[in-house]
Amino acid sequence: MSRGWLYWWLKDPRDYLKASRMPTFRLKDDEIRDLVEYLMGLDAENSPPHPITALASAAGRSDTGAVIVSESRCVSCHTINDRGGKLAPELERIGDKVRPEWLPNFLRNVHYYQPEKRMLEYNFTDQNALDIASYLLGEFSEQAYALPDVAGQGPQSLSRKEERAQQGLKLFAKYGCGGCHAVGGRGRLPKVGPKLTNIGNRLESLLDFGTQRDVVPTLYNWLFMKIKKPDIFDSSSAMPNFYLTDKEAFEITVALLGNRDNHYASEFLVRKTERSLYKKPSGEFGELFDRYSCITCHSIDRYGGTLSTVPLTSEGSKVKFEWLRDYLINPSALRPILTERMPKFRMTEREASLMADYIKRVYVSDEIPRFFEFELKPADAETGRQLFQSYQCVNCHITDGAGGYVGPDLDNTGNRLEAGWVLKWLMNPLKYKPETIHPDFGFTEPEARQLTAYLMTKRQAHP
Amino acid sequence: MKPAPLILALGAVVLVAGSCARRQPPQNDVLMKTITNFEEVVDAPLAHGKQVYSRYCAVCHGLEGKGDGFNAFNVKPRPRDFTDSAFVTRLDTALIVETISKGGRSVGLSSAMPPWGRTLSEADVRSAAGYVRYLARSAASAKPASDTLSQ
Repeated sequence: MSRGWLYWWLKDPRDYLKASRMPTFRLKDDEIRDLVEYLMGLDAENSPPHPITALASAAGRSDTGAVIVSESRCVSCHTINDRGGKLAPELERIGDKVRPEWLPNFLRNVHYYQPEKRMLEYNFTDQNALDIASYLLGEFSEQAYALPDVAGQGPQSLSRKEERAQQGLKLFAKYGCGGCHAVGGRGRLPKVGPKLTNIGNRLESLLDFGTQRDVVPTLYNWLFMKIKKPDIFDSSSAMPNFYLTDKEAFEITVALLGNRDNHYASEFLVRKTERSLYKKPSGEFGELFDRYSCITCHSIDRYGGTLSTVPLTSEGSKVKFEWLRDYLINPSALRPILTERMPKFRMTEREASLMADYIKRVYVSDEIPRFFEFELKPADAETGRQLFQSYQCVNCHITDGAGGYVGPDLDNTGNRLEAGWVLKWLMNPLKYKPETIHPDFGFTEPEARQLTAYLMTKRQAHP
Repeated sequence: MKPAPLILALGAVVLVAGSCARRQPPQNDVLMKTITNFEEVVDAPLAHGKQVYSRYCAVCHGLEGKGDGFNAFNVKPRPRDFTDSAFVTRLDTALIVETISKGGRSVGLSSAMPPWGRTLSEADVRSAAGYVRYLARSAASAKPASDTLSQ
């Protein structure tokens, strides 16, 4: 991370990133410099497993980098120029934020730098990483985040830096940074703010409105104003400003007012029986599953990410092995309207086969018949075609090269999907994807069978 | 959730709103702002209707109900324009609810309108119907306003 960027970030995160969730702590110039010294001293001691020493600007080809960035679907999670996902940090000024020699190393060793494995580790080569870094650093930098000079002072002496770092450590504790940020392998520290349990019971006569004498002294007013502008009653308050909208502050206030008499609204309680059945996969599949961070976007047994519209819980009963293997290697856009797409991992064929095989065998549902395709009759397919027309499925799905873009393209259904899945899906879409917008038409079993027979005739030649 | 704390909280806001207007604290812009936004926050059925509508209906009928969702060009006949307030106000709410839950086919209209009754709860359908009416209403009230503006 660059020293200058860190300075301005600590001063006001919204200056760099409008939508930042990091609040502003109203730090003084000296406090910021202390924290910068402390944080910059936290450099990792060991080198990553695949170190890249060449400087990105020297060895990377920016145009190749641009192609890889687009192929890798980085924007599914990252924002670039106000477009893209919200799952990961924005990239539009990444060149101002990170040190040039760090970026290629990070791209090559994502999980070394990020052990919680939210971001996937692409199968990039050294050259890929250098190319991407060269593109990002060149394209997305405004050179606007230099560390401001301290008036009337030359370069800092080593002992002064040391002093600042010591002071920074104290400030890190004072402002409770460790409540959200893990540092030095110690994990997160306890929160420093006062407990909010039963805050709805706080006596109004005990509230301190400080200099705000004109306010009606209700708990609602006190909470709302404190949340909106934490130093409104006491300018020395350490609570940071989250710059919430009125609506957000109102909603938080209402939630806090309801937090009284040791009563918790039932929506906020997790029942034992509702816990997910998800178990982290192990073995070689588990390693790949981790490396490609599948669970960041996909869910299994209601555990995991929601970025992907496809839960993996019974994916093995849904898609065919060959299709899945090829899709993992080269994901094509099945649902063209989605902006979040499956990234191209640069997976080897061996990895893709292994993953597809595991998914086919393990992530299955016994309710979905396995060899249903053999039970379908040509006569059914014809009736199915008529049903397909009469229900106007083509309004949302592409068939024979034409149709809507709301649902997936169905022209390759026969190669992509298992007949048993299509049958069960048509009869009860909500069961297999609770958030689906596919209407439940209430098809009878024979109708669903006829539609399935028709859809399974849709096959495209292998490219 | 037990309704009691929420009602208490809302009651508190109304009280504050009343007493605030009397006291007129000039420097306290933070507090004054809450009160103006209050209605938007508490009209829960409308907000829910908007949620349902945006998720399930807007793709064809358009976010503003003009029948111009991005999939509208694929649908024949074209999706209904809800800003045609003369048409929508003539409709019985029960008919709107039935069309949403049983689909166009069940009321003798286009089968391009799918049935949502097995996907959405009755409350969802009612909220969506309410939102359709709201779209027509706000289109009707927006029209004369823009006319005066242009004059």
